[in-house]
Amino acid sequence: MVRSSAPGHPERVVEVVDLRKNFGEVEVLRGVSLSVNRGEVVTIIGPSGSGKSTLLRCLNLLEVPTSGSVEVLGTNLMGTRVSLPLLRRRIGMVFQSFNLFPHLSVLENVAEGPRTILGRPRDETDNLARDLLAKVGIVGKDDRRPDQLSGGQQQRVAIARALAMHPEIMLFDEPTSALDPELRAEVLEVMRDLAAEGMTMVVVTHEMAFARKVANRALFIDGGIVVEEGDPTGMLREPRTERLQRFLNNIFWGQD
Amino acid sequence: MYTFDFSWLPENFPRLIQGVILSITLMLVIAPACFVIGIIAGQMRMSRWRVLRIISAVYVDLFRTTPVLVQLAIFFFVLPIYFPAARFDAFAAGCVALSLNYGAFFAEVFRAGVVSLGRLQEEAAMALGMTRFQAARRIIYPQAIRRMMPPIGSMFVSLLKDTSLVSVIGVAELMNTAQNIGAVTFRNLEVLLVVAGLYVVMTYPIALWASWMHRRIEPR
Repeated sequence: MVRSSAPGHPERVVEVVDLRKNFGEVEVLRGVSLSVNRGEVVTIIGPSGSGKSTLLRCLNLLEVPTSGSVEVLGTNLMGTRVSLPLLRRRIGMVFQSFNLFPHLSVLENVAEGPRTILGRPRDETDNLARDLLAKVGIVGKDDRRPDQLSGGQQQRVAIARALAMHPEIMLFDEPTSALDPELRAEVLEVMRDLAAEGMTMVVVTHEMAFARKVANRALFIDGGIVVEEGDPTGMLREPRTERLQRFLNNIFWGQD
Repeated sequence: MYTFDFSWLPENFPRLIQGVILSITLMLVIAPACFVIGIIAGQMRMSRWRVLRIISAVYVDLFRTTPVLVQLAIFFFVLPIYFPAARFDAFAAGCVALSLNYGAFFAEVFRAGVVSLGRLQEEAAMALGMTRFQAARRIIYPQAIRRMMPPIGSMFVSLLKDTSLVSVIGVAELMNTAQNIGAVTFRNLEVLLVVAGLYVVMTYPIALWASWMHRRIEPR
């Protein structure tokens, strides 16, 4: 399912130009540019250590870029007067290791954002949380602790938790990499539904099928630069660069 | 052969109970105080600002590398010089010294609790849009304090026993009372045996609470 981009002039929600990020001596990102329009689903693929997660984490300033320009939802993140909490409310994030709050119940995890950050009353946030949990297919587990759920269920709760803030864009950092193959499908299905609703998504992943079927665009990153970018179906079927060809071979044989 | 004589006991028992009450009072004042001091000092130790880190480190190291008895004496003799108007009595000096001493230990326990949580929980809270304060209050502290509970239990047992140290500056808690009774009755051994028993009765519930905490929290 490939969605056509919105008619008329598309609205830019992410505009990254020449982003560089060093960790000490190591240059993790060496001049990456990326733009995402509202409603678009962009996947970022590449080998581990290629800098793809770092790129994603620069979009909500969990990592601070070394140089370049990063604009998200109309805010210049390299500016000095950025209110990170205010901006991050509008950017949802889903982590590889779920990072649910283990001391809170499933329902409380989802309600926590609107309750603590937006100060909404409890009955309202509880209802919102129940709706979102139903949406991601977690029903009748409101009072469970996160560690009583399977990995796939935990990740779906994490998605609901992010959605509770009504974000305008969702960032996914290898959301299925910590899951058994059979648990991945349930998470990918939720993500696909989200994409179908028109959510703007940036997804770092190794799921080539997801990239092909759901994403509008794919970026292949290696060695801190964008090696190839384009329509995922064509790009994954007929890679233009030898590097992507090799990567896809490795993935293929790795999954075999 | 030594013959035990407890004939002094009925007459002096009310005084011992008064001593017990004062020991427990000390504990009830010092326990929350050192808890709060520990969180403040532990948080300062993890601060972004170097000055706060250094102040906290100096405080913690000073109090961990000097004997409690020395600290007690210093607070007892030195504080009245600076706070004459505050009528700084032995009870207050004992409370301040022990609170600061145990606060230094708690600071390390608290810091260990937060550090053992790792960065991921904080990142999850930040990514939702929480301020640092909100993340600390709702996400980090509840978990860190939960992890602190087992060591806190055993430290409160130590604290209750260490309140006996303030007897040296003349606070009439259980140990001080015992010494006075012993001096009058010449039955020091019997008095100490009774006092030992009273400490067991006081600390045992805390020890039970601590091990209950251990069982409740560790299996996760």
